[in-house]
Amino acid sequence: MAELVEHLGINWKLLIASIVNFFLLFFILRKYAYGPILGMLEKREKTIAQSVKQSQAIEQAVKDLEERKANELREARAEASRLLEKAARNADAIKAEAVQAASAEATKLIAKAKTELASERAALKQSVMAEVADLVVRATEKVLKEKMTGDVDRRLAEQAVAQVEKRRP
Amino acid sequence: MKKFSARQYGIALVSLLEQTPEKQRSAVIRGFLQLLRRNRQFRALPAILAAAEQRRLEQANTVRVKARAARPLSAQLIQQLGKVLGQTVLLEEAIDPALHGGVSLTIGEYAIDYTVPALLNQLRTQLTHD
Repeated sequence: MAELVEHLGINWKLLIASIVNFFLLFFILRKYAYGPILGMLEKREKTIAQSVKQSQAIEQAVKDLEERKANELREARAEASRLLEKAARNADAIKAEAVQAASAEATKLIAKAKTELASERAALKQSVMAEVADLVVRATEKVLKEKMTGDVDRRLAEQAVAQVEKRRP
Repeated sequence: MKKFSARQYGIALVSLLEQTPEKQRSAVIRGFLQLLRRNRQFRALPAILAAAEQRRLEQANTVRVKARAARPLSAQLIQQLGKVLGQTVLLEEAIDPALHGGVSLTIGEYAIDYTVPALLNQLRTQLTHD
C-alpha cells in the first residue's frame, strides 16, 4: 500500500492539506455562497411558480371571460335574431294593415268620386236640359205669337173642350 | 143649437123660396138671416149663397163655366161645351190678350188650362224631366 502510494507520488501531507482545504472551502462556500444562492434560487423558483400559478389563473380567468363573452355574444345574437324575426312579423302585420287601410280608403275615395261625378253629371244634364227647354219654349212662344191666328186659337179651344170630355169625372 | 153645412143651408133656402109665394119671400129671407145669426153662422152667408145658386143651377140642369181666353169664345164652341157636359152652360168669360191663344176652363172644382202659356209650361216641364 505504502509502495503504491509512493509509486503514485502521493504526498500525504499535501493530500491531507488538500482535503482540509477542500472541506474548508466546501464549508465556506456552503455557508456564504451556496446557501444564499440556493435560497435565492428557491425564492426565485417560488416566485416563478407563483407567477406561473397567477398566470395560469389569469389565463383561466381570461378563458372564462372569453367563454362568458362568447356565451353572452351568442345569447345576444339569438336575442337579436328573435327581435329581428318579431320585428319582421310586426312589419308584415303593419304592412298588411296599411295595405288594407289604403285599399279601404281607395275604395271609399273611388265611391265618393263616382257619386260626385254622377251628381255633377246629373246637375250638368239638368242644367243643359233646362237651357235647351228654355230655348225651345222661347222659340215656340215666338212662333206661336207670330203664327197665332183665329183659326189656330179656335182649334186650341176645341182641343180644350175635347180634353174636358176626356178628363171629366 | 144644431149647426148645418153651407150646402145644407143653401139647399134649404132654395127649397123654401120655391115653396113660398113671391110676395112673402122677403119675410122668408129675413127669417133665414135671423136663423143664421142665432146659430152664429152669419159668416157662412157667402158660401151659403153660392151653394144655393149651385143648387138652383143643378135644378135647372145648368153649369157655371169660368173661361179665360185671348179672344171671345164662339157660340159654336160654347154649344159644343154644353153638349160635352150634358148641361146648359152659364159662361163667365174673361178676355186676356196676354194669353195669346187657347182657353182656360174652370167647371166647378174641375179646371183645364189649354192656354198658350200653360201649354208652353207643360212643354218646358216635359223637356226638363224626360
